[in-house]
Amino acid sequence: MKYLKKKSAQFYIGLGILGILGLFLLLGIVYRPYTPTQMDAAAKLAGPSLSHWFGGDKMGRDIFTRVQQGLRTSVLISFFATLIGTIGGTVIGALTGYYGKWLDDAVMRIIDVLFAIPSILLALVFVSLSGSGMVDVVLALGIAVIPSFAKMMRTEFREQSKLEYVQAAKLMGASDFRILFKHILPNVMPTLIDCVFISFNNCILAEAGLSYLGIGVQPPVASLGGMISEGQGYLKAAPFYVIFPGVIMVLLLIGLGLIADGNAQTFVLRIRKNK
Amino acid sequence: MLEVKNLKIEFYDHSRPEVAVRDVDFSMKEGEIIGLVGESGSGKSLTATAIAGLIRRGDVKISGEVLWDKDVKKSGETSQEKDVKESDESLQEKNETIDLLKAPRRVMRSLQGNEIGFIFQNPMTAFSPVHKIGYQVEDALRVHGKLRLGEADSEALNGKQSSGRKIAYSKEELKQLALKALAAVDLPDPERVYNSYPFELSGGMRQRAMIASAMISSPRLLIADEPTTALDVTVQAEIIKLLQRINEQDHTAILFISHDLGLVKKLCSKVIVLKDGDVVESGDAAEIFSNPKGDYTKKLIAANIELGDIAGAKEKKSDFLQKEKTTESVCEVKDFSYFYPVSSWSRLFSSKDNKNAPGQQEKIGIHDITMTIHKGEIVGLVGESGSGKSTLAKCIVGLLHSDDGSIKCGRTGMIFQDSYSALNPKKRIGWLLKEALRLSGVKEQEAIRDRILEIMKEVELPEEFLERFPAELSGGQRQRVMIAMALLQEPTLLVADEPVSALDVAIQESITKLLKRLSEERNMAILFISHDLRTVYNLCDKVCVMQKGRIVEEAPKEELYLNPKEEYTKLLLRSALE
Repeated sequence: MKYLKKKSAQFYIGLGILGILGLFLLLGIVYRPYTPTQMDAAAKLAGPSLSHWFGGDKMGRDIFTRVQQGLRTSVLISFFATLIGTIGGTVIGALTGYYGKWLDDAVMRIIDVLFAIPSILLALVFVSLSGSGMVDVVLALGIAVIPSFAKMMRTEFREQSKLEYVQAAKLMGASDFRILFKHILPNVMPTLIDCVFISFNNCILAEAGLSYLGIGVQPPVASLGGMISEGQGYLKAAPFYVIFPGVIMVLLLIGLGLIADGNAQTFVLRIRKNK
Repeated sequence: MLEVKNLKIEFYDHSRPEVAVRDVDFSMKEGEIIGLVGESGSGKSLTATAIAGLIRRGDVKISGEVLWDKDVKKSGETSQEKDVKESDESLQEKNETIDLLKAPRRVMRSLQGNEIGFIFQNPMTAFSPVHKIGYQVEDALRVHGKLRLGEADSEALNGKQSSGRKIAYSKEELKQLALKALAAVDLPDPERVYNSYPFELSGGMRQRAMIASAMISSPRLLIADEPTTALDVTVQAEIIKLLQRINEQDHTAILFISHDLGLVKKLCSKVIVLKDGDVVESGDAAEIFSNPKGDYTKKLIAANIELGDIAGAKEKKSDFLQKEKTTESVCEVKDFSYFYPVSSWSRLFSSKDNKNAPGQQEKIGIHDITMTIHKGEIVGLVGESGSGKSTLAKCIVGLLHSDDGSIKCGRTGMIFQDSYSALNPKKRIGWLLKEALRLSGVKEQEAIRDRILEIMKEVELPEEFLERFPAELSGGQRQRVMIAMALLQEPTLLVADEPVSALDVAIQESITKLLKRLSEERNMAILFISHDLRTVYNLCDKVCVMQKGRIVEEAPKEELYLNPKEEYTKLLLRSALE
């Protein structure tokens, strides 16, 4: 709870938006009249009504239920992808930043190359190589965000390694592993948390992009990007088909973005105050 | 000329207002040198910057009066500016005093860099790194043009429109004047300096250039904010001489801010002692130094020793040589050399011209070091920055390795200069101490707790500090924590790399006392690295002098201070103690 104190307004607004989405997900757990793949001929492209709150899609499936599933899928995939990115990137960044020399040179050049390619393109390549199950998408996105994590963490670890407390720890006989993860890691936490938020955001966007292109999570499992892709053919006849998944995704992105921003600002504020 | 009345500076950027400077009163006459003395945080720099009109921010409230009598200048000044006829009128203006705190920005601008010159503490950052020295030295003239102050502000005060009669200097004129100013501060080869970038000059040269840029417009008041603190002792002495000469030749008044009483005593005729924003004592320099009234002043003066004291103390400690024979050595360094590897990249990019730049050749490492440290002995290692002191320290504790020569050492501990970066900012003091014990192999919680409480007592820190973060401690307290961490490793040799250089005088003393006591109690050897010869004298048994990576002289303290053999040692001593 200490973490929540003293944040900027943006942070709380973002938190509020995410809270609303959370309630929306909870509602989906409590209120479950349909399964995501259950078809109802009468609801085919029908507008929002009491029985189908968000209307029905081209096969008569309930859009409310499918948006629920899509949101869950997006968040889950992004969560695990970010986790992979965080752990992988931090380890690579820590090792290259701390040891430097040839290890740094070699690994960073590879990262640079990966960095030059947009992460969604990178994920695209991975997915087309490995197939497009949920696990594959998680792996693809996770690997795609590793470079940005590695780059940030390397800079941070390198800066910290120069400070004397690291030398002091070395002199006391601490192992390199201990120095890296017990002594330095807490000091790079602020940057790491920023990175996590930003990359979570990117993952949501990238996942939606992949699904939109049809190479993300495969139907019949619903995903926000996939629904938008399906619905754009019926923009005139059934605008809600695109609007509901779209709005949910935009809310999610804005919420996360505000939190990331607010979080970064808080650290700036704190630094300014300390000086 | 300058009168400061009830100057009070308050900060409003935190939740409650803080008073940084309280009721400072003093007046300055033409050509006078006043020393403003005090520890860091005592408000001396704030006072100076307030006078120069450099703090005008929303969250800082300055009250009181800073009266600037602008008239006295004209008689002396105009002779330099023969061709400016316009200023003749202003000569007849009557005496006027301006309150610098209330003066409009326009008036202040006409004074800054023109009548009031400012020298900053750190010559490394006070110059813009991307402009040539010459350009920056000329800047004051470029900004103010040939129009002298008299006209600009009398117009401003009378509410007249500025008639825009400023005459800009031509490029040639500017260069001539700048070269003259650079030559006047004893810079060799002004032409080269003129065309150099700041990073091509050494610290001392940069500080000279800084003085040149402040003096180019012949100000009446020169505010020098710790102008020598960032410099080596030998350079310090030269800068002080230069300021003295400027004062005599140009009759420039100098407000000299320093925490170094030795310098103040040498330079100033009047002294103001500040503590926590209050003036605790002010008056004639000779009077204050010979007969200090305030307790604080006495303490400050006591922390400074004189060469005379050394002679008196000689008899007391003559048993030193015998002690050496009977004790075993804890550290033996033999023919040791260490060179910093030059990376292939920097070799690729360094051009021919760079090789001759100052500072390029000296910093490459240490050569043929041979020294022995005995049990319980406190050895001082002195020398200018860049002489290789820290490199040697790092080699001894094992942070740097080299196959050239040998180092045999027992358990070592190290204390760093910057206690802020040397303590992990995200960990509590208790964790840090525990970590030190854990790493030296103590496992039982009980034992760890006992040892930590014991060590806290030993370094004179209260137990509550265990719950605090390093940022919540003062510099001296952090340094004590560092010492405690080092002690928990049970070292036979404690390497202290400038442990007190970043601290205030009074705290310096308490830390050195602590080190001395610990050394005696635990029979622990200390290698004490410092550039401050006074502290070294107070603490050490033996002193090694380093220059350009070599130990040039090694002798027991009294011998070295009274009969230095090497020229370099003599130079160091002279600049530090005279």
